Amino acid sequence: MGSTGSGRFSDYPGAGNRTTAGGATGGSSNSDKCLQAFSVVLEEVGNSQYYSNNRDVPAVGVSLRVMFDGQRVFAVDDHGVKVGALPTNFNYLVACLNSNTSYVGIVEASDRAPVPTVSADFVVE
Amino acid sequence: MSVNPPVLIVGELFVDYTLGRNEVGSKMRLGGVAHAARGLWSANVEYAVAAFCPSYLVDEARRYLGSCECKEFVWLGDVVGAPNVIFLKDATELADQGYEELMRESKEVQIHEQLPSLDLYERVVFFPGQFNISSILHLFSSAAIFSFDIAYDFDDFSLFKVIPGKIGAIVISTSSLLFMRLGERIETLIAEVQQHQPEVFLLKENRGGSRLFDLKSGEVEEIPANLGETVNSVGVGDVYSAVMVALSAMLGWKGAAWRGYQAATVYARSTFPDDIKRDIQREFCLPLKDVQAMGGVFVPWHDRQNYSIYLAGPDFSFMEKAELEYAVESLTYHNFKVRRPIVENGELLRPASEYDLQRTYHMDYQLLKECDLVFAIPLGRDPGTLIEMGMAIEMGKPLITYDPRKENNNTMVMIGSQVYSFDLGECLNGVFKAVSKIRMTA
Repeated sequence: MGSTGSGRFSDYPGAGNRTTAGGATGGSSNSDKCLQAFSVVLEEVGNSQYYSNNRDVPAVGVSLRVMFDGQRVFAVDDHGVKVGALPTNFNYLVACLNSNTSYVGIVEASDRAPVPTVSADFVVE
Repeated sequence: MSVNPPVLIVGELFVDYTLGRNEVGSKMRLGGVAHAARGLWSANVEYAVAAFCPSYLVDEARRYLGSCECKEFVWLGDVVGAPNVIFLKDATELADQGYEELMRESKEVQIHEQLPSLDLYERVVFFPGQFNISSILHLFSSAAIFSFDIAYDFDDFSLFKVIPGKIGAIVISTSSLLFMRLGERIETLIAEVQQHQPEVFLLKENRGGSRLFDLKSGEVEEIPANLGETVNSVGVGDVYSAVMVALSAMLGWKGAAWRGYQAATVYARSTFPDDIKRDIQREFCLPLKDVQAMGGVFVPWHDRQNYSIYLAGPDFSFMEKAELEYAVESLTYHNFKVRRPIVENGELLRPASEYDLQRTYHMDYQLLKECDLVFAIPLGRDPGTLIEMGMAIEMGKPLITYDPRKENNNTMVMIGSQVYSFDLGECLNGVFKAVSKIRMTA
């Protein structure tokens, strides 16, 4: 997110956030990506442990969590079984998880065919 | 973080003014070495600034840098004849950012006659500009280690001949004049750099990552780029360099370069300093091994011409196709090889003979088969472009679809494409990601 304005330098640290006709200005946007809910269509569902174990995808409503396995961010079920990977543009979550933010979610939509697909919604726990 | 004594950054201070476009308003920030200052403040590194700037900017600079916990501000000299204001056409470096420095031809830098000694500072990062570095070298200790981030105003290495002490890092970006002149072959560039005996050479390759050359051991560390939404790419490279140099004593050059990369990635995604600081601090809490394991996009400049991009679009002479031309300019700026079938194989007359139609079809199809990925711009829902997109999907070639006029937001187009967007930056990122993946699997 970018701040705007040209009347004076407004991006002083600690200056909070103000909205002007030109847009948002100040030292902070008042938003934190780590605290934002998100929806995601998981990747690699067909190659993940859950599908391997069950030859199926989790049903709608199944609860999920987010974890980092040292290389990628995954959505896992309550037993820690990987359901699918989050796209790499969600890699920012690694720093969030490391700063003790955790995420819970549910399967919002899923289907086994023609390609195993899972969509999930997550919020900060 | 105490880097005892503070790191000193030396350069000019500017006013950066980015023109608003689309729905984003204009943006004014203190620029020049202020970017490095923000980066070091966000990284909790103690630093000081010695800068040249017009007198009207001095008080504001002291206030602003003071708010960023700058330990000392030294006004080295006045800039006269110009306001030191830079207009930026493109904040996200899709193509040439179009830096326009106002009244640069009448600009003069006047070094103050009386200057304090700067011999306290052991680590100094120069951001060369239109000031004469050799005129201030006497202020420094002979034991100081100097590093240089070469961007504009320099197209040769002569400045290093006057440096009395040790050179820590020489940093060059592929956007710089120096790189444009000497960077065609990496061996030539390294040979030139090596003559001045820096400890390391960092080549920053924009969205393709960067390479850290350890000139003593000969090792090369490949550092990827983490491509996401770029809000403002101005100053990102300065943050990378400054943080790397500042942390090098504590972490070694490699570790410091990775932390510099993390800081730069965050800096590109916001212009709110408190957000930047919060996010850099979070990133620095990650173990380096995790950062390295996550990887990212890595496409060295010198490899990019090895990958051909088929341009699928109504590239006809009679078309109004400004968006297509800009996309080609962007891809070319980033050193990609763009194959334009209509330009290369010829534009058919209307009406065309059966012979010409068949011949052109087969030539274009052959070219598409030879290319590594397809960049499609289906302006006006051009049917030929849509067919070529389908061919690319069936061939399993990565398809990046740039739809600036939002005419093709159809299931088959959006999901068939690896990246579908009306934002050129997203599509450019898609090209880098696709080429990076092809490189890794080759």
